[in-house]
Amino acid sequence: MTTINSILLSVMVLGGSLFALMATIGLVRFPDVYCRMHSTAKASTMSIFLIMLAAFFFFLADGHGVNSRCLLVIVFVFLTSPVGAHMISKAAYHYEVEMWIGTTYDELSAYNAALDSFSVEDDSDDEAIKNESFSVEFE
Amino acid sequence: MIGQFIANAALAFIWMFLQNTYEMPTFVAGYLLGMLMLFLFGRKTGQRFYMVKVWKIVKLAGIFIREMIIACFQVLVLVIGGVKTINPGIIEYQTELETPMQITLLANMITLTPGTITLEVTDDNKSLFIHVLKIDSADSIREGIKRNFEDNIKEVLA
Repeated sequence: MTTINSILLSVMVLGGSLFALMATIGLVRFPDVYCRMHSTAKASTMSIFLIMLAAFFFFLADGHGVNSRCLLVIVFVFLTSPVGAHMISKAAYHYEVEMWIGTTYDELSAYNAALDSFSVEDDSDDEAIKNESFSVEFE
Repeated sequence: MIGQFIANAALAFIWMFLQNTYEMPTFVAGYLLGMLMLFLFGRKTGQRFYMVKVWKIVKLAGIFIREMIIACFQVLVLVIGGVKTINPGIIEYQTELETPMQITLLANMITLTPGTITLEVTDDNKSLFIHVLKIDSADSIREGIKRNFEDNIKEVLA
């Protein structure tokens, strides 16, 4: 381990810790669930990315060879974290969790309203049919 | 593309057998030489050289990492600035992508980049609804997503 190596790796680990701290502060400071998902989804992914990359290069420079698990952690966090954030905010929207009062645009509510006015009558029938077929299957 | 990749790997193994050394550097050298051969003679078959596509994937990954670093610093500034500096809202983004794979990739990339989270995909796969943390102008956000991601994804997963 040369000095330059250890300085670079320290910067990466510290940067990762900084982003993790920021994700937590954002979780407390932001006003509603949608804004909070921003800080958790992005900052925590970035912090894991930096810390795992630093671990990978540490073992590489230390003569332990390529540690592929560090890279796998990065890949799986990148795959799952945005899906989690998307599902949580989608569920929150469908349960009508209130948005912060300073929210300026909401183009989704207009879209949903248009959709509902189209298919109010069909909706009830469909659901009845669905429930019936479900109960038949279970019996 | 898969066929060209297998041909290239086969050329690399043949190079290893010719050299009679079974180590990684020889494989890499053989792979590079095979790539050159495919580049020179592949156009006779009428297929596009597959490294063009690999280069596009690398380019998309590069843009993605760059945007993500920018995103993290933006969120950092907003976290420090607190509630007064944010201006959240939901905007609609109409996409031209068609297959589920492309839309999934686009939605995940949107979630991990500057101040945007995919909130909902409509049933007909025509538009995404995006929650934005700080809206200066909705059109410039749409423009940025289109230029950075949608056009590149279209080329990668055609």
